[in-house]
Amino acid sequence: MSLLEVKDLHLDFATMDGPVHALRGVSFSVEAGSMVGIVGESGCGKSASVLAAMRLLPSNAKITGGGISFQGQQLFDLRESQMRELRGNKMAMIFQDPMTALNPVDRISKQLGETVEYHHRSATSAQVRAKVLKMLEAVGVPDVERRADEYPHQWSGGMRQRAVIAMSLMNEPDLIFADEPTASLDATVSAQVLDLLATAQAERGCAIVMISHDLALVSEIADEVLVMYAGQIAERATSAEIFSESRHPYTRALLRARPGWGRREERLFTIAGRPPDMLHPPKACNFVERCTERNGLALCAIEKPELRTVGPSHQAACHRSDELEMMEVAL
Amino acid sequence: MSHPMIKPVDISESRTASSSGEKPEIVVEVKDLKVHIPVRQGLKKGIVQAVDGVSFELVRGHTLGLVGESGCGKSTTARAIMRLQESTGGQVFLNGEDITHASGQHLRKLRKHMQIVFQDPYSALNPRMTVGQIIAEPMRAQGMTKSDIEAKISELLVTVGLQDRHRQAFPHQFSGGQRQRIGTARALSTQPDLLVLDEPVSALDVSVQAQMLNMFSDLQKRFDMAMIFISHDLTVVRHVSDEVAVMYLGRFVETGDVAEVMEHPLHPYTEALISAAPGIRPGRAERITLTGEVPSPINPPSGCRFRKRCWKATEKCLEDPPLAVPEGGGHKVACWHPNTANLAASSTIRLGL
Repeated sequence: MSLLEVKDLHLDFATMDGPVHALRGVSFSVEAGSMVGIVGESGCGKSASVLAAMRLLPSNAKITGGGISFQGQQLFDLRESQMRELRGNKMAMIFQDPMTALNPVDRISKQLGETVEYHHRSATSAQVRAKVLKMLEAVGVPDVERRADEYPHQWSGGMRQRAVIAMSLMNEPDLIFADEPTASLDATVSAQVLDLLATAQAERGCAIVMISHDLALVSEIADEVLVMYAGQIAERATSAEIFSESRHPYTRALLRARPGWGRREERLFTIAGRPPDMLHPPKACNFVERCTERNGLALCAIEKPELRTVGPSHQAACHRSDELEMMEVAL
Repeated sequence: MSHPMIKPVDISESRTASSSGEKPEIVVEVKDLKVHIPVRQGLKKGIVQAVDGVSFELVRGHTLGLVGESGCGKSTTARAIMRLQESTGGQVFLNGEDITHASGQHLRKLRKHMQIVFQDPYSALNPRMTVGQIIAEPMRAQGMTKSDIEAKISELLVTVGLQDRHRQAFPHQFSGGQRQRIGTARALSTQPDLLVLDEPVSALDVSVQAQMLNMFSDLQKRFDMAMIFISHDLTVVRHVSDEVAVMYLGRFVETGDVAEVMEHPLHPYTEALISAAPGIRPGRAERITLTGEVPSPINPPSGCRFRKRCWKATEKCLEDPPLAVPEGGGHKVACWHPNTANLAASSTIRLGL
């Protein structure tokens, strides 16, 4: 049994113009202790999938099909009180912006302590404090005795993100969702945070699902990468495979559109057009309008390609996945 | 709406490229530029040394990439050059003229020659103005006639890959990439000699980013401008720039030809930045993870400003580091312990300005 299993998840957002079909049959699983990356552009449904698993979706969201099981429990069957027992305890979340994730009027130590107190009612305040300091130390906060009692605004962005990571680790969760955890950080600091997440996964054995728009960043630390497009999974592969043996034209286009490091190309590869309108999602292949590797195949405009196995740990949703030529991406 | 690629359109006013054999013309020259901003933190008073002694030259048709982490002063440098921020020391020359203290009508005239595209396309455009009005504003400020402006708007929209019918629309009707095109059209409207692009693709998705980068290269070739491209993304800077300047706490720590600097970084900070960028660790080298964060520019460390995070720092680094010039190249580095192993075997480093 996998730690997390998302099965055929369908999700709509109610808007003034009608329902936006944000997720249309998303299935994936996360094994205990693994690191999975979800990659895609704005609006592809990567954050919605994760918020659905945490049951933190906004009120205009409606699950219209499928389910998510975590450690064998069907999450959508749980009462809110049962969900609260899981959140911050068995599963935790790291948000993109650490300033909005922390309460500005509470001391850091208090906020981290709350996570422990909520799930361990019998803990004494001395035990809680010891645990908070230990965790802050573990994520590399210097001078913890003093700094733990400061307020979030006294901490820099990188330190705040460390506090949020420490908070997510407080109760030794089995699964952490990290939604663009380095997006608001500078390059050298974001390298520190990535190292920290990798260490947490390796040493504590918690599974991490990391969301990002940056394929290169995700594949640096993830074992497995899911590429999402228009509310569906376009491709699923190991980090190594996604670079050298991608079998989906969208993934390939994303890789080629990124400026390379090795040689300076005169022109970057571009993806023409824009993602489909999710009010009226396409019946056929999501990517057909923008695909440059269709090769005139009529089927692409008629039938939606199923996500099918193309290798031992590799799946792609493309009618032509077997015919796509190998592509070397110079990084 | 689609993003049609830019087609080469013959524009009579567009300058011919400097291929006619004339020698490169210096558009911008910056000499020891300083921007010190007084601040109060509670009862304490301090001075933020946002930019502290930056010098460079930029010729027509070239792009300078400004790289560094937030707060290093890259945007402030550009804003001081554009006179959107008062400098407190040094000089800025535009087309050979000292514009450091230009004011009033004269400054307004000068603005014709230098334009900027801002990072956030959502806040850079007035939501109550139509696209046509937005693009017309700089031209109105320069006193162009109404009929000239109208003709120019259509031309500019096509230049940046939009359509003439878009002039009646409002910014909210456009995607992030399209808004950035509108901002670019506005900046190009006065045919500037200097175009500053302040993180113009940071807010955009990868696929849109590629379209925009292609557009900027096309525009530069066509209009033969000098460009300053500000970004924290090294791969992007590498793609669009000819030269690069790496900034740290208000100072340039390394400058030179973009390929040379990126492939043979001499400064430890440049090495760390390159190694921190995802997916581009050359040769899959072990990542250099710096400790700590950028210190406050209010009380920057004495001597070399990077020394507190540098694994090579010695007593000597308490003094100011010199700009070292390797023989036979424009590659400069401000470090007492540059990574000379990264230099081509033939060149040696000469210390001193």
